[in-house]
Amino acid sequence: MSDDRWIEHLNSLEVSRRRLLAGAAAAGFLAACSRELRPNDTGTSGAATPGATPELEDQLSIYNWADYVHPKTYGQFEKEFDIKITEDNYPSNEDALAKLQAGAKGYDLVVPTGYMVEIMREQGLLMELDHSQIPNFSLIEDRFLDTAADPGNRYSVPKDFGTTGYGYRSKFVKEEMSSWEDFFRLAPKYSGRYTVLDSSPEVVGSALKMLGYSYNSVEPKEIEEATKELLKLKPHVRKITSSMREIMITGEAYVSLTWNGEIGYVALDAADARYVVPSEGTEVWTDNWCIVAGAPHPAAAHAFINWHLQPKIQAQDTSYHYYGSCVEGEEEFLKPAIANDPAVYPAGDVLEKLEFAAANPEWLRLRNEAWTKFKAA
Amino acid sequence: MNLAASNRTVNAGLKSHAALVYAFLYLPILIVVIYAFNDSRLVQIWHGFSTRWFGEAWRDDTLRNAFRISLITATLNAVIATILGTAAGLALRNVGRKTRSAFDMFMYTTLIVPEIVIAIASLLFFVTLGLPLGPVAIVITHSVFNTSVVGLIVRARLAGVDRSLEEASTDLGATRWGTFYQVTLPQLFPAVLAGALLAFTFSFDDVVLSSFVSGVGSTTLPVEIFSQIRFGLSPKVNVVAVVTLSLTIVAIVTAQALLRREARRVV
Amino acid sequence: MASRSSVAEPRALLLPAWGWYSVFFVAPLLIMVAYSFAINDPDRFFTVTFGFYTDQFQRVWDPLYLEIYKNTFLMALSGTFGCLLIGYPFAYFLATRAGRYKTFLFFLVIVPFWTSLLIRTYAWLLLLSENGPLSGALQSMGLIANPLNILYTPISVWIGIVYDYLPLMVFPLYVAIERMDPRLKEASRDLGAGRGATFWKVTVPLTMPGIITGCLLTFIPMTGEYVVPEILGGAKSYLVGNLVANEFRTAIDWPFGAALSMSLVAMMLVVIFVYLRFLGRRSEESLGSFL
Repeated sequence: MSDDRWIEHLNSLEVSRRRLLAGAAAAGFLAACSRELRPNDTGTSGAATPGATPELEDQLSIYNWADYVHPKTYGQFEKEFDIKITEDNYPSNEDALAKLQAGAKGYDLVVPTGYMVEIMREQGLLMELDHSQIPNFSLIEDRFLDTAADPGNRYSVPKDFGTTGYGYRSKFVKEEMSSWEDFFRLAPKYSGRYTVLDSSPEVVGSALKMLGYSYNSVEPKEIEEATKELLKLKPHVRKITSSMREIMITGEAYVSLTWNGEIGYVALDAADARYVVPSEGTEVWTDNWCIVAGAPHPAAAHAFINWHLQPKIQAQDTSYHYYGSCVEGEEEFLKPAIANDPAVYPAGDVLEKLEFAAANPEWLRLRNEAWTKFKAA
Repeated sequence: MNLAASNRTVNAGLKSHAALVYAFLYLPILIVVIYAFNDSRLVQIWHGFSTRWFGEAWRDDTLRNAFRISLITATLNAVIATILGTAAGLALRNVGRKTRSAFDMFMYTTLIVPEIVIAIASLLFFVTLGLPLGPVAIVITHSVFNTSVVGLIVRARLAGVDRSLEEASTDLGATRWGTFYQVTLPQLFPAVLAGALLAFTFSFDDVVLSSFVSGVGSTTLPVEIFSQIRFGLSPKVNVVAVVTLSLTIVAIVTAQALLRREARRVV
Repeated sequence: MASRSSVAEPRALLLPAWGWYSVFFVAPLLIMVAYSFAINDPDRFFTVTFGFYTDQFQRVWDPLYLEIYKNTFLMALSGTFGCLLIGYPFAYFLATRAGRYKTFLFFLVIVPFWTSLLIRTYAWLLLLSENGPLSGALQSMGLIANPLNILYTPISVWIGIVYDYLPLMVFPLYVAIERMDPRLKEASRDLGAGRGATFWKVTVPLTMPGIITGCLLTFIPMTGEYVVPEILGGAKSYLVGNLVANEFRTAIDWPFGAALSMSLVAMMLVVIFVYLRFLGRRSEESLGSFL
């Protein structure tokens, strides 16, 4: 992820001077905060551990989603630890899994979503973590820890969390949308202006939730009903893609089934974009740092995970990708606009109703089948 | 309608149809080239002439690395394909009809089977045997069908080579190698070179095979572009398109010139 | 020409390529066959048990997937037909009316063909986009009222595949038409046949090998298309290529993907077998035309 891209983004989009100044102010605010409010977090991770700290390698290879850390983040780590970072990207959990399963070697860190942690763990693709090298682990909020996918967090450390809902351009969509029912019901009206993620669990899950079933249902009857709804939706779908930012910005699409951070990004250029956590409930997920089994630089990997857990680094990333941090205390470093944004940080009672995805072979098989039906329609 | 008039009508019809087809073939490519010079991030809207995206694309580490990988794998693949294909083309002159038909079938099959099938079969092959995916896998997979490309070109060209020259050379006492080196090879060389260029080009442009057998850090340019195209239009992709097109066109023109020149030199 | 000339190169030169094909082409396909007869462990993720199970092929024989094959063949057929309709008059012009410029004009057809399929498909993404140049031009010419909205539909996929494979149709047609003896046409006219009759009763049958070869060369790759439906179809046009890729990439169900693949290959082999039977020896000269 290069700084050039960030600069390009700023330059070429007629960023108003007001916004530039606001950005500069925010940056200054963050810098000031980090010095005043958290004098203890001087950012030397790993080294805070007394006792045996393994010697750090000089390289780190990260296999990550695209655009998922602030452009400055890697550079800061590189300077502080004198470790060179390289990053490769993947567009979906399944892509990452497929590559790792096929024996791709050389990666240290990978960033699977919760349910994929379980799958990768079961396939023996992950290295068990040495928590003594990750003292900052204690900063993470309890509600994101110890999930069914990875009890005891032996293999994963939450990086951020998000929800899967939908975003819409209120400029083009006159109705106020707040539920999955709205999403499905308005499709014929805005036919050809919908996109959905290129991923079966989320799309099938959305139909399941609308029908009042569990996101993780493995009842064939329920899946069948959900598939029927999806087949009704299909003709109105413009594109099946997990990269919908551009067409939402240009207005080619009005409504997108997607993750909350994507809409945050869209809203930078299209202020009328709104994100909805549907009232019927939906998926909450965490993306997690995991170390690949056989990683060539495990000490550096642990060091990075620990370093990245600092609230100010977390805030830096959130301000870029608009996904909330699982670490306590991040909000203090964030612009109020982001810290109070319900898309980034849903209210507590909303969060309670959301489900984590829980994969098992049957779960996967049913969804894949439904997905094929959807795509082939 | 008399004959002359109906002739003219038919001629006019055919000509305009042909013109439309050429327009159909070239218009999209031209648009991409033009828009590579578009001074706007929103690709579809023309904003003025600029070459800045060329600079941007060059500064993009990911793109540059992918370009490098593509160059290396395409070249290695061309070397292998040329050696194997030329050898095969030469040997095919001298084998029995059954062997020739069987080998022909090999060659055509590698070219006709849809790439997606070969891609996944290759993926299964490397993974099952525990071999690493990556540049080597890419080179190997590409070189299979490119060997056929070179083989077919060499074979076609050899069919037009006059054997009597070679026989005269042997009669005059030259060794088999001497005859090959001094008589056959010079006539064959343009075709071999053309084959090598085509093998390079096909490999450089390949996306399906590469995306299945590439590994860590060995993403080729087309694969990188394919994943960026999933996002939609992008000025940097336009630039890559222009660069790739230029490379390919130079290669093709050279290859064709070599083949044509050889054809005209009827001995 | 079966004489073993002493001047020719040793036949052993064939072995390297032969070996290469065997190891890196045949072996992978055989491994794929092995996977197609395997099954997945139902209790674990992505664990394959080899054997001789026909489960996967039974799964293929399900209306859902057969429908996808059917759609693929229909798309490939209509694409081939489009190529033929556009390509025949074009090849005819090149072969009979181009005169001095024949070689150059033919070369102009080759150039786009050898360029990257990805780039050419992407070019249509740009050209057909809602706010793109074609949309703008058509609107300003008053031909359409609203911005062009055919992207991400089967139509745009069709345009894409016709565009990508048109040259493959033109080459064998060109060769066949060029080789046709024009005197046969003249004779037909002299005997009183009209233009249309001459065309259908003389020209077409004489160029039939080229037509059939062209159809084969376009139809087969079209059935395996993967890139065009992804890009121009908005990932909504689900052809066999996309399905197979999905089974490998996303569902990671290798046995099933292998079986789907094998089924496609089997269907194609039937097509090719029919082709070779029909054309016999003439197939070779037709196939060689595009190099």
